[in-house]
Amino acid sequence: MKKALVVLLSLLCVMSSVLFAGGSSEGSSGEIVLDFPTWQAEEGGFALFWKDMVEQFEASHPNVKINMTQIPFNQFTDILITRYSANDAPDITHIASRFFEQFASQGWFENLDPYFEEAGILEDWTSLQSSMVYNGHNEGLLVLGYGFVLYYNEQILNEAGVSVPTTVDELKDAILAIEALGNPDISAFGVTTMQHSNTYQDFSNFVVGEGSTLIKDGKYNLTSPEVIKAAEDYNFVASRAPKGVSTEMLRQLFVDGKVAMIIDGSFVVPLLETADEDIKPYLKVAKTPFDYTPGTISNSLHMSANLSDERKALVWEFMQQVASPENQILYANYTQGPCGRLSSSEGISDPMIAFMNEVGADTRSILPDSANLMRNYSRFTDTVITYVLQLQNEGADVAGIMAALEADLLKNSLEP
Amino acid sequence: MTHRKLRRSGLYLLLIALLVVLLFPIYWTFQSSITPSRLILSTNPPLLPIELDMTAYADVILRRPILLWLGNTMLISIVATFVGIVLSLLAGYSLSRFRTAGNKIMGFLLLLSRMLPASLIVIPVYMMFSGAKMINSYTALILMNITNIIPFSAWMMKGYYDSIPRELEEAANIDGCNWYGAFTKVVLPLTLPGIAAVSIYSLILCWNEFLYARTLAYDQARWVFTVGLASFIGEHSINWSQIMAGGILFIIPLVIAFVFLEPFLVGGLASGSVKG
Amino acid sequence: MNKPKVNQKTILAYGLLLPAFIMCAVFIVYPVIVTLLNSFRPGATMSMSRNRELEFSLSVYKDVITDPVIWTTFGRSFVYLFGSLFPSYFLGLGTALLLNKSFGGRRVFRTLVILPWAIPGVVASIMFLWMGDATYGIFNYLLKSVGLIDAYKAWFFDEELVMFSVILPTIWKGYPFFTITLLAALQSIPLDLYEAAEVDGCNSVRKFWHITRPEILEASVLALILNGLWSFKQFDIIYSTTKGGPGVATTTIAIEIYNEAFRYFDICKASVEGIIALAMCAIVVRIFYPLMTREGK
Repeated sequence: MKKALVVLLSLLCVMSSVLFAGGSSEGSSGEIVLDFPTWQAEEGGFALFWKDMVEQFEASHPNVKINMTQIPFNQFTDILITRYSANDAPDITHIASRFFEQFASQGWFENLDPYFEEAGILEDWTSLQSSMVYNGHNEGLLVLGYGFVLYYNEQILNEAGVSVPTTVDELKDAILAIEALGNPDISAFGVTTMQHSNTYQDFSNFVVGEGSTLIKDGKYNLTSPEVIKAAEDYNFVASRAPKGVSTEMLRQLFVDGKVAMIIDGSFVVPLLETADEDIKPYLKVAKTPFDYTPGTISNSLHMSANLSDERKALVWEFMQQVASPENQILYANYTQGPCGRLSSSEGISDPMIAFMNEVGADTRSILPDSANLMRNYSRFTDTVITYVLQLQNEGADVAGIMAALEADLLKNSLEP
Repeated sequence: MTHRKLRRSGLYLLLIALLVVLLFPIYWTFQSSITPSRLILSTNPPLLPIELDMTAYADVILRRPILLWLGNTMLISIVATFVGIVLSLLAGYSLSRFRTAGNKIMGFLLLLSRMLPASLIVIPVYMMFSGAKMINSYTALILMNITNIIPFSAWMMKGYYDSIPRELEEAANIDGCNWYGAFTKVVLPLTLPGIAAVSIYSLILCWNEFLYARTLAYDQARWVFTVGLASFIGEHSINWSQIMAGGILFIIPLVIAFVFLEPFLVGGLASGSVKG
Repeated sequence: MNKPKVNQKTILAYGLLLPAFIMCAVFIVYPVIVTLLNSFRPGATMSMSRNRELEFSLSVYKDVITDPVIWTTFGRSFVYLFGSLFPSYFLGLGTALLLNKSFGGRRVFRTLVILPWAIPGVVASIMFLWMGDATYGIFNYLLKSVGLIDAYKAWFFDEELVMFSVILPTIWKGYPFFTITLLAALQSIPLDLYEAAEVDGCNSVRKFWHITRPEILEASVLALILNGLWSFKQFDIIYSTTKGGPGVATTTIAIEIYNEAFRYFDICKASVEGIIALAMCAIVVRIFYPLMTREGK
């Protein structure tokens, strides 16, 4: 018995010493390995771009290797939060930008202003970069900021006898016309109809697109006639959209020809390639039927404040490389969407990509114009989403819901 | 005779009806993996397979490192189950045969370890392993899986030991065996159903484990199957048929293991080897 | 000279239990301590090592305990818990009783019955979400075809239905655990007991009530406690399907704690809620503890 235990314990010890392979950040002979976890390392245009960047960087820095690892997207933020909380932050930090303020509020990111000034990047960068400002200085480089576009199924629109809507009223008419076709398998317009951050986006698109804002002069604008009109328009389209549908499902339904129109970002374009051959030619893109194009931020690069000076310098060089004019054009071409550097659009030949860049250059941000709300972005959007979901019911008391939302926000110390 | 036949057919009917209802989601998972999504996500989905479209399986097997995921999962599950069961067999025996105050407290604390919500455990555990430079190691996952297994397995084994009369061990002692001899020669064979049950439980627990796997072993070379499956959920879209195909492939090794372990679930006192 | 038997027995008792105990304790003690400390430090940051300088205060405990919203959340947790625990138990008991009989093909049935247990959570959640989809889901299609409902329902979107809709996959994934543990418990009941009862002229129901029930009582209590603890902490199924929504309709305490910690970065409040949840579980287990540590036969 004792023998068995001893054998067991020694087996465990041997196993531990053999199996444990904690990643070392010092390679052989003083080589530096930069840790770069991302969810965009494997598939699609984004992955091609990052792989290209890693190759370029390693070629120009012989003593440095970049360890780019793929993390599943829906686990990514939690893993990053765990690592930062445990003081084990990666060298190159890539995040979905809506979490930026949250992370920055913990003092986790390095102030990039001095680096930016030296390189003069900001003069030629998208205006959405302003969302990377925390406590008065830039703490990240916005890699992808985009404007929303209208994806539509031309075949269904033709069948209903309507052309591509260019105003909200035309959109409503188109929806009614498609519904009149009476096909139970086809919905005219889709929005995200479940607890999902995109529910906030869909709603804000209407508000911003119609020329209004959720916050005006530092106060909530939610019960103003303009916002209520936008909310009513949202209520019109949302009450007719398929219920209980996530954004990923919605995109799939559009690609499968079951939803005629959706408003979404530039990244749906690659998904269109997967459509069935008889549907594919009819899936097209246009500007949103709003007076203004709403836009938002997608993902950004940051630098942990706790890195050694040597690593900080290297990470900055990586960021600079990503931001260079040639690489920015590469980004747009690989991802078939907009890139951060404004002047890059001159170097783009593909009409669809050029269109995306054009849309991306002239957007109004749907993010709340308030430092407090951006710091509490998750709580703010969660509260808004609760009420927006009520707006998705037919015959909802729009004005009442907006008033209740404002009251709820103020009650929970979520002032703008 | 007819009465018995009727009861038998009634039993079969009930079981089949039960299985149809209980296994429908698994059937639908399979159906979704061989049918294109535009047919499944429709108002008139095909209930039976119309075309056996295996492209999802081909994509998953050929374009993803499934064997790596499988290998990692197997290594971690088998080692953790083995060590966990051994420790639990001993611990459960102690809980059953010795009722000291210390035992009672430790038994309670074993259950306590299952009471703290996972969200609060994750960061401190990461800090521990990060400090020991064991992130992205097999050992870290094996250890955490063992801690998942032990509380239930130890208590369950206690239950099985309780149902075995002490007289048997005392008889063995009289015959010259020490506690270890009595334990291995008399008690263990009789608790085989219990051991089989906790082994199945432990294997499934390890196979399905996701939280620690994705937190402590995020390096792709260390991905287990559950983390691999999560990677089918992309940033902008989900590859539905692939994730369903992955799910079906995921359970095949478990089914094989279960077929192997299932005969042991029968036996013990019920086989009439002992006079009650 | 005789060594006192008691000492040797005690050494054996602890020696057998300690390895398992130490293994579990090592990995839970630190998190519990960190959580406890964080709960006493309002304004704690996520960078746990930096929280040492903050001062101790019970103010967040006071805030949480006097907040009716939190108790509603706990209430939802209990609805979810009991709504999934007891159906799982009875379904598991029923299937175990059925599978305990000997009949041809029993092995096949046994293997099939536990399949839901084996399906990974991420796949099961997506599957149930799809099947319950308001417009394209197969549940609606089937239920309408057999006439059980007259219009498609939004299973994961309607506030009245959504709690039921997350309980269902929980039962589905939870019952095989009861099947297996109760089946193994049933197997250890000596057949002679049943034979004697037959001789006495007992029918099935009486046999079950007087023989089976007491024999599986301890196993049942233990299985209920353990599955109960699992359901109470259950996070993945709810989060993957509804994220706790719509609104807060399915926000149990596990979801609430995750939100506070990982999305709102209020680790103090999350820790307070976690400690309260832990205390509740500890009290319940303590109440049932004598039942679980009854002397064996």
